[in-house]
Amino acid sequence: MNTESFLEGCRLNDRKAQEMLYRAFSSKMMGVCLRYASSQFEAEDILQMGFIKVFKNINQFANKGSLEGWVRRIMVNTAIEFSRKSVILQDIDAVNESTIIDSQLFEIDGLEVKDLLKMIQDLAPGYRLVFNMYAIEGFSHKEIAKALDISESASKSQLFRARMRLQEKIKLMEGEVNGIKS
Amino acid sequence: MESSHNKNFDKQVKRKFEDFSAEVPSSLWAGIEKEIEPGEVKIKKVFNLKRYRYISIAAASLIIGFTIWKIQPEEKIFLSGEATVEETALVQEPEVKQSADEKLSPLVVEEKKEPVLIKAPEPVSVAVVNDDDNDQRQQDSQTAIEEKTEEFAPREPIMAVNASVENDNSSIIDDASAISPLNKTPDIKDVSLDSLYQGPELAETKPEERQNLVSGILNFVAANLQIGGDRRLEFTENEHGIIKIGLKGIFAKNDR
Repeated sequence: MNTESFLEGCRLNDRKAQEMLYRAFSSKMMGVCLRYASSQFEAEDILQMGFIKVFKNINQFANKGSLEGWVRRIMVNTAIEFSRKSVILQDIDAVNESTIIDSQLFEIDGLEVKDLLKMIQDLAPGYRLVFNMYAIEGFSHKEIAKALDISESASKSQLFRARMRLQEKIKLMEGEVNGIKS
Repeated sequence: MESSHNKNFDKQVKRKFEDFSAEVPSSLWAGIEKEIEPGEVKIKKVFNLKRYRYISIAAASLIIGFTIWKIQPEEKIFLSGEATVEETALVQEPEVKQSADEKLSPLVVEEKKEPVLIKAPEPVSVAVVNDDDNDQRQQDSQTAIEEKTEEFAPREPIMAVNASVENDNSSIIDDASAISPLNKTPDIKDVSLDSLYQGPELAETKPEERQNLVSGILNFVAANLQIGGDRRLEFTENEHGIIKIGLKGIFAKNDR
């Protein structure tokens, strides 16, 4: 579906056009929100807040990039803002860079997305937030530090611990699967 | 520097979530719809206010105009020449009659005023009583009363009349007339109503002041009701008190 067709309607505050935009992007955006949330309910809250922002600021979309990319950015920012309120990152000790060891080579192609999502949701809020921002959204440690008002080393340590936990969980799951198979 | 293993891990996770989508409960749209609704209502309210601005100005002007029109007839009677003469006659006539009564029965007046005149000088000056002293006392008291009369004349002319009455009834009228023209024994034929009535001075000056005042108030109200500061209604008033509303400003605005 061509997004331009309902974009103009959204700018005129047309309810039908707004609903069309929501139907077009809500499922994908729910996937984004679920990564940042610890539960389905939290993800729904983030999604609702995000779409309200989208409709209230639709006139700021300059048609330069894709509409989906713009909506996604709003969702990510809303999720970060939502998570930041509940996360106290400063309490976690910063990890010295020299102690950060290289992770093992991992292959997760056989892993289901839903399982991976569950593992991410089960991470501590601070780990989950920094991992999402760095590994999936592509933020630098400097940007994360600025956005979350923490030091860069704190951001690195959060990411390191998040990776370690995830890999442990993946290993555990693979072991369980192999055990069942054998 | 990130190791290649870490980068690889991050890439794999990112790739997994690239096309990931999840089911959304149908009730969620209703919640969003509710949240974005108040914005529309706000916009409508602002629009309505602008729309009815001119109507409210016109209504206010009509109310003010009607109120002034209702007040107008009473003021016209007061200002016109004929009505002035009638009012003067009504006001002055009882006063003239009262003065005439005083002339015909001076004793009544004397009895009335006596206690006031005797009281003032007597307790202070008299010590021994004989005929000479009595005469002297009468003279003193009369002098004192006259002095007192002069003192009070500007404020209370009736006091002067009372003082004269005590010693000589025939001098009542002369003394009184010297002090206050209002108490002069009136001859009704000689009384000019125009000369007694002081109101016409107001009738000469007031219309202009009133003209400026009423139209000024209306122009002030009209200017303040109009948001934006442009005066579009102009009130003018002629010498007969008729108010005209100038609508040129409004039509000029519409032409733009």
